Amino acid sequence: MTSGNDQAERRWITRRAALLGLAAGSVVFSAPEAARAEDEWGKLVAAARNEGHVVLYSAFVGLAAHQNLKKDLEATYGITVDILEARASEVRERIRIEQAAGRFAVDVSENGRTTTTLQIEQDHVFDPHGMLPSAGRLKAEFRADDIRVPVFAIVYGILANTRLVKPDDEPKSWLDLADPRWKGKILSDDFRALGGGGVLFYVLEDHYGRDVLEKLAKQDLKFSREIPANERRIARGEYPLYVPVSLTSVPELKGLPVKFLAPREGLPFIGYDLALLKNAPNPNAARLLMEYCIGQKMQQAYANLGLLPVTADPLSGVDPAVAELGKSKLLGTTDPARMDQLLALARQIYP
Amino acid sequence: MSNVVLEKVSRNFGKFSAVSGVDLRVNEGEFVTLLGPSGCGKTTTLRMVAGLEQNTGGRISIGDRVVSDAERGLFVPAERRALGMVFQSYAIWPHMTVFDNVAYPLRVRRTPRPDIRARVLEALRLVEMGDYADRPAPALSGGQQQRVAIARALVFEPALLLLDEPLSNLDARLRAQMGAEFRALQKRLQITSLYVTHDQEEAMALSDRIVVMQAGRVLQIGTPEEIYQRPLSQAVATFFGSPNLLPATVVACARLGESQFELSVRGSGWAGVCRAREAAVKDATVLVMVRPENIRLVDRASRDTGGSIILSGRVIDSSFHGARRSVTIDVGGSLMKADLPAMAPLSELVTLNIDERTAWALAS
Amino acid sequence: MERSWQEKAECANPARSFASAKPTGAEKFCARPSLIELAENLYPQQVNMAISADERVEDPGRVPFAAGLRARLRVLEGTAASRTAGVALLVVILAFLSIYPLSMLLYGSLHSTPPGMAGVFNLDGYQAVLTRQNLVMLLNTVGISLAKTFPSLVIAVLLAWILARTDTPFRGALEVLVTLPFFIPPILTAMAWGMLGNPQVGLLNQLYQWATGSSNSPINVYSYGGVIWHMMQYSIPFMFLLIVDAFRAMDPSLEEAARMCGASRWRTFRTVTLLLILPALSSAAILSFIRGIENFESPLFFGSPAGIRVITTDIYDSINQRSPPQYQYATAVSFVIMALLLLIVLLQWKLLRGRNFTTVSGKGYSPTVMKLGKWRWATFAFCVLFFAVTVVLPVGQLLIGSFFKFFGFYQWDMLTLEHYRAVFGSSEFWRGFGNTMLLGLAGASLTMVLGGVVAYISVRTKWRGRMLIDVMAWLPWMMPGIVLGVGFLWGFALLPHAIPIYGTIWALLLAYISLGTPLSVQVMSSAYSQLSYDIEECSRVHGASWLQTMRHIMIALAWPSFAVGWVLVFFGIMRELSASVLLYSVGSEVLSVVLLKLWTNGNAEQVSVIGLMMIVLVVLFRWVQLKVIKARISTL
Repeated sequence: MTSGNDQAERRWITRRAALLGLAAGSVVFSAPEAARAEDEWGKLVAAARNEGHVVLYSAFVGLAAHQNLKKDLEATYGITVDILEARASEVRERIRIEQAAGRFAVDVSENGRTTTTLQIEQDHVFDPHGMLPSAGRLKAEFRADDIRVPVFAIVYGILANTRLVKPDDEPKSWLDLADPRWKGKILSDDFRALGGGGVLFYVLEDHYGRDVLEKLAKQDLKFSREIPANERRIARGEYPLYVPVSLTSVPELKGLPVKFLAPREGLPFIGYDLALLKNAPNPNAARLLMEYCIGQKMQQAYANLGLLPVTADPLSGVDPAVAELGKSKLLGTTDPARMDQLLALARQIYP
Repeated sequence: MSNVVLEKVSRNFGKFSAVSGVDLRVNEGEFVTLLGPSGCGKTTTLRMVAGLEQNTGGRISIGDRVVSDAERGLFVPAERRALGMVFQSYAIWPHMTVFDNVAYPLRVRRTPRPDIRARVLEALRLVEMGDYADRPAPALSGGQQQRVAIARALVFEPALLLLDEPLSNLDARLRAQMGAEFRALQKRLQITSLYVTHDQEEAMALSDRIVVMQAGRVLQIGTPEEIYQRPLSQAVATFFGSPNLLPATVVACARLGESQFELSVRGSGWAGVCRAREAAVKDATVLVMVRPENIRLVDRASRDTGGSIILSGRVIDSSFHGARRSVTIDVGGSLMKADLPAMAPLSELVTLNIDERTAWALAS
Repeated sequence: MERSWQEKAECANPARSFASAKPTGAEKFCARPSLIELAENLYPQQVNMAISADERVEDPGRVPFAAGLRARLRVLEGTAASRTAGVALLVVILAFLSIYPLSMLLYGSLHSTPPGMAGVFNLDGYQAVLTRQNLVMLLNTVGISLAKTFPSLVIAVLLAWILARTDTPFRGALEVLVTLPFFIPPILTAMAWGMLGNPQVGLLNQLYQWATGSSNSPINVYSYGGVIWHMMQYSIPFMFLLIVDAFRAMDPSLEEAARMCGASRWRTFRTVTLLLILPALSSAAILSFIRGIENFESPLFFGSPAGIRVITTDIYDSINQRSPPQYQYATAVSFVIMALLLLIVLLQWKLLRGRNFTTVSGKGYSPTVMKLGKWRWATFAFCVLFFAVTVVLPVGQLLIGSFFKFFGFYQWDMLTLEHYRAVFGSSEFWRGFGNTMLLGLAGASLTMVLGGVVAYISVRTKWRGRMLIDVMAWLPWMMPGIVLGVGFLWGFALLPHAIPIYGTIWALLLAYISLGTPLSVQVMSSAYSQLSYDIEECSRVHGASWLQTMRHIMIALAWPSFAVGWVLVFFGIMRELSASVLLYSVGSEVLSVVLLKLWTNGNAEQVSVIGLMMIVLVVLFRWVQLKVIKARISTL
């Protein structure tokens, strides 16, 4: 489909960009280096335009910001974006088998930190992205490495029904959940499963140790897996509290008698990463897409939805309530290496 | 119209043989009935002629054409044998009208449309169902469905008509009527027909010839009269009605004609003359078959009917059947059944007379 | 044999003497099959000839009559060569659709890593299955499925009988209505029931509390009862659809004969009606039981919160909630389940094979209905009640919910058409809808054709290889959907690149055909087994080739079932998610994936809108279908 010349050019740009990435990773930019970097990037953009197309597999099903991404890349660069969404393990397995079968259909993967790490360690499906111009603007918590580029994070708090939970009674700390008054009154995402519940369990264990979780186990948590339904159940007053709830629910549930509570210790979070696929058919457009996602516009779009932006770029116009909560302290996130062990522990404490 | 020839036709299921060595020739325009108890192989034989089942031995030809030859591995499938068949269940397709049912054999043969109409209506007229063409088939009564099934079998003027117990689903009255109608039609159209039934009266009433089968073999082939009056074996004899079988010893044997002998026999307490198919040596034991309706009551005094069998006995049971009276008589310890005129005077002790022409000796 | 049967029948069947006593009705009575045929239908091996002791020796498990039948049929079908070629082609198709993905999964269960990755062969997966915990879970799963299958069966039989065989008013409309629950996406009814029956604020509990003044909450859907009830809403209409035609097609005189013999209505129903439809009934029950084992939504929604764990949620967890995904374990569990289910199915086959319950004979039948008198209003009320509970309540919730900003929050200021606008204005929805319609139409038609052929071979012939074909067509049904989806993914991706299936709409189509075939085989099998052989043979004798016979007789007679199966498969395709989400590609998005996106995004309202559209579509399909069936039946 592509001529030999194109192939050569693509490789060249990739190699140059990789060098550039190494340069960008170094602490200081000299002016000529910066100029050269800009020049290289310009070439990459040109090549990306030439490719005109890019495919993203995302584990964030139904992310509204994907529409912005499609529209913007088409409008700005004339690059059409195809986005295929499925659940984390489904996306992972599709990528793995496609790579194993030599069907190189996808350029960029968007998946949670845990899965992305496993893909790097076990599946070996990614190529280094060669560093992106905006990578330097990433927040300290969200460092890019040569394969992963953080793109946004989900932060988790507590959802309370405002009719059932008086302002004074609101849990101020994660530890307040162990208060006997909430016994049998907490609906929870499953601690024993990947996702919000697993993240919360991990972070609490990390911070407070096993005791707190065993105390929580005595609270008779109701585990339910259908997150959207769970949020509505809180709103309807079936339960006063739901943990953990994503900040993205705040704009979604606006108008319902619920409140997002951010405990004072901070919020657990789970980052999403972009990564460039091996043998990506559109490597330049892929990297342009990755760069675009950590650019100001997309970060703003994520923030509007209640996702945590990963760059330090100033954002404007975000819903004040969301923006305020978004500034909450971060409590921590999971380490993919220990995740399996912690899930096993969760199954032990919550049989 | 054509003749059908079966030569040593057999059908085995594994080691079990359902039909073995059947030889049969059905002449053009002839109505031949396969008769026998359930499991005798009559339906299998018919189905082999139809091509619904394949014979494992022997050869079947219809007309001049061999349709199945086990040795040569030749087998013409049912649809290419150009037969008409009436099934026991009629097999009227419930999703079609009467017309469509009858037109089916023509349609699958791609007969031109106007022809179809004419021939279907003609066939329906033959069975007096002309007015029912547009009825949905299942809305018909059993007798009507039967007629439709016949019309369908006849509509493309098949070489041979096969009928698998077509009357067995009708009640007695209708059965007789339909049987007669069908026989009349068959005679009129001169269709070669092969008919299967287990009902001996039906077989006798309709057939030119009857093939009596048992356990996969042919016991006898003959006209109804032959089979009834001059059965080859005890099995054939007992299949039609319940004849009296009197054990006897041959005293003398005389030839009357081809396959016709006259035997003088002696039984327990009686002696007389009977007929037989084969010659018998003196002192051979035979069974003399006497049909109940051939027994007459005679005056004790008149013992002069030479050549007849005369028996005496005591009436022990009698039942009235309208036209006749069925009587059980104890003759020297063995029981005989006799059908007597209903009005005949009956005393306790009776003398019975049997015409020698109706007494038939069978090998015992 | 025959004679004794006949004699029995003669004395046991007053209909005959009645017939001769009443000349006007005579023909009519005799037109219907007597007990002789009933006997023949039930025990053909005893009445038909051609039975051999040797056959019995040859194959002790088989009823001897099968031998005769095999012979009867052997010669019916074309030439041996073309038949062999046809069967071979079918075997290849089925092998590709079912054995191939399953063998991928088998590999996965025996290999430490999924296909395409370095690893070693071991039995770790199967070892991990053998735990006490899993045994408890298995018993739990089986228990739940049994607990939902039997009451569902009873209700389904009752409904089928009411709607097919009695003079209950508005049967046509009711028939459409009682089958509706099957077609509503389970996630929606789950949500609706979650709102109706939760112990805290559930509407039903509040009604109870208002009525009785107590503060008890008698209903809690987050329980075994809730899981079972939610499953039942799907299995009742499902079984109803599978058995109603058996009721409809049955010759009423078979029942009348029993009534004439002095059996009460109930006894007749029990001893004749039920026995006659036993094959259809037992297969429907087994299908439903298997579906119960493989049901995912109900235990996920109502069981998990109550700590009820079943195999499917465990499999789902092991793939989607473990880090890394435990494919070896998931596939191993699935194969263990599959083996168990296969055992059940084979047992059923063994029990039913050879029992030939042809109830549509060539004699025609008039599906008269039972006059219930004033009781018909009771049966009517029963249907309406069923409809009200399974459809009006949840669908009413959906309908109302779809007009409010938030599902389940009824405030005037939240009244909106925004969700309808959003759905109908979404290009993604329309693309998904278009793809799904296309795949549904093509998939359902092809599936039914394939199922029809397989069912024909398995039910109507005794060809060598028919068991193989039947089993191959059935296998996908025994494999939990989540795992089977993975099997398709592996299978299609690892095909040589020259075969352009992976990443195209063909992958979805083929997966749908594979998933739907067991159902279509089932539907067509029960349709065929209702047809007598005479009907088919008669066509052959009168000059029609095998193909012509298929077209004019078999398909023409079986098509109401074909239509029912088609609708079932069509909506199965519409709902299928497990395989879809793994196989869809950009441009070939299907409705279920669109629904998944909306649902995960918390957009229950738009999901409701789409769910309602699906219901409208079902009503439309079913209405047309029943109209046509009715037109046909009225001509009978």
